[in-house]
Amino acid sequence: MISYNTIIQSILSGLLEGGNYALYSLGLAFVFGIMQIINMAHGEFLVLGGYIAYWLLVKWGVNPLMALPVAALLAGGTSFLSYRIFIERIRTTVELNTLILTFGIGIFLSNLYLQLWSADLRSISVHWMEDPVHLGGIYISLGEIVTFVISFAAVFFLHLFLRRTKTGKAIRITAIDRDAAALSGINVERVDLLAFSIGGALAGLGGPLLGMLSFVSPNTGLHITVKAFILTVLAGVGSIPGLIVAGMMLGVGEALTVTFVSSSFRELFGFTLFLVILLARPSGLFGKRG
Amino acid sequence: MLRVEGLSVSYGDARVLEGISFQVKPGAMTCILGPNGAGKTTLLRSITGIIPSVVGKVWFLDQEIQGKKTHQIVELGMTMIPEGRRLWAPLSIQENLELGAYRISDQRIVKERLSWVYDLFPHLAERKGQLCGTLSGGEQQMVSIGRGLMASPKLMMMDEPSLGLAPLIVREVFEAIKKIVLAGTTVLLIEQNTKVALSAAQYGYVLERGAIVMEGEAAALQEDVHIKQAYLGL
Repeated sequence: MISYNTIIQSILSGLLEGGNYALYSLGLAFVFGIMQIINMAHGEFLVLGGYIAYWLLVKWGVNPLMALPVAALLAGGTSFLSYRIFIERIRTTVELNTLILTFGIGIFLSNLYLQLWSADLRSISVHWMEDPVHLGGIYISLGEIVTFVISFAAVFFLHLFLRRTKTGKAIRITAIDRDAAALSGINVERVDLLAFSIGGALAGLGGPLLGMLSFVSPNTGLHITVKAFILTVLAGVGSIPGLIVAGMMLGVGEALTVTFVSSSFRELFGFTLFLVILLARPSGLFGKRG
Repeated sequence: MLRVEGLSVSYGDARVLEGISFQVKPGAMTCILGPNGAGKTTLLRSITGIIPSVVGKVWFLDQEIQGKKTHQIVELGMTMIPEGRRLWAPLSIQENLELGAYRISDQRIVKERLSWVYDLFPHLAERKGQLCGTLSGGEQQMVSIGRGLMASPKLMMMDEPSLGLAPLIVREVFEAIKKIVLAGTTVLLIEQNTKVALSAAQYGYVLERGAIVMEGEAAALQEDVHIKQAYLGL
């Protein structure tokens, strides 16, 4: 018999996990919404962040939270180079080209990780993260709370950056009307480069969290990309805050599926939710219709 | 101020502009008239570098600008008010205007320009915070012109500012354009509304099927038989 507490427990973990899903998806959702590029290498940028935090911890004992900026910077740099060297050349051609090209970049990166760091699953284990926090009869780990707060903050600051800063607005208006942006003196090609690099940096930020909560491996990337894509479409393309809600729906749904059905149905739930929402609301939960 | 020589543009095999030459003198309003599909919009889009790879030469303030990127041309002091206003609909009037001055980092200058635009269109000042997607066509046109003015352009090119506006609003918009010229900004106007354009401009060109077929003082063009028959319906 499943107790009342178990249900509350799985809903709560689902909510917290959902917040992390939002961060894992943030870079992809941002790049897709702003540039209409489905970045298939998104997961690999994220995994890179995870590896960086792992090695910083193992080699020099760096606190994974301190590794976050380094992870974001290096993943952002990789993203910058990918755009500068490859994607820029086909930016104005059909959208399918960027999909194929970023997919190729992803394959290259995951094989590079395999060569550099072997196929072993790397988990970033930090003891304090396992510390339990009791809320009535419910237990959650400190790590779940910390990662949730980081994810939430990342979404919040990205939203603020796009709404309030001049550079953020330049990114938005270039997405809305490229010609009008250029006519206002904005270097739209530089905006593209910046947006894609920010997308990579946001992915890199998610890597250490993924490594702390589970693990990273060379082929984790594609799995993350798919999940990020599902969430982006669920939230509605262009809706950054919607990612949190969509992430929590997915998180809670998965947790309840594990509790009531079986953990082998966990992934199935996400895809089912994806299809159902798309049937009911083709533009996603918070997307604009039409 | 602006001199175009032998400008030709093709879309694939279709030649849209064929050896266009004209010039815009500083301190005045020049207009280019012509029917739908004559290539007027294409002309402005190639001058501003939105359509790259054109044949011919374009001088702006004694500099060759063909082949430059749009933002570089804008930085030299040229701007274009595009056909159909092209505002950033989810942003407010004030945000649209401020972003028009993207290249100006001195906030004092931005404020000065902003108050000048609000003086020109007092109507906009009352509703700074309103999102541009919810404005009427006339208001949108005013924001679009204002956004162009924010960068303190030396030359402002306007693509059909009267399009889709009620006659009363057209008059209001053109009164503002005349004030802009008086304040020292040179204007190149592209219009289908021949009557309004010729009464506001000093000099005019007529563009038909991708070529300049006629030019002259606005007053003389108004009296021309071809213009009267084809454009003014007299």
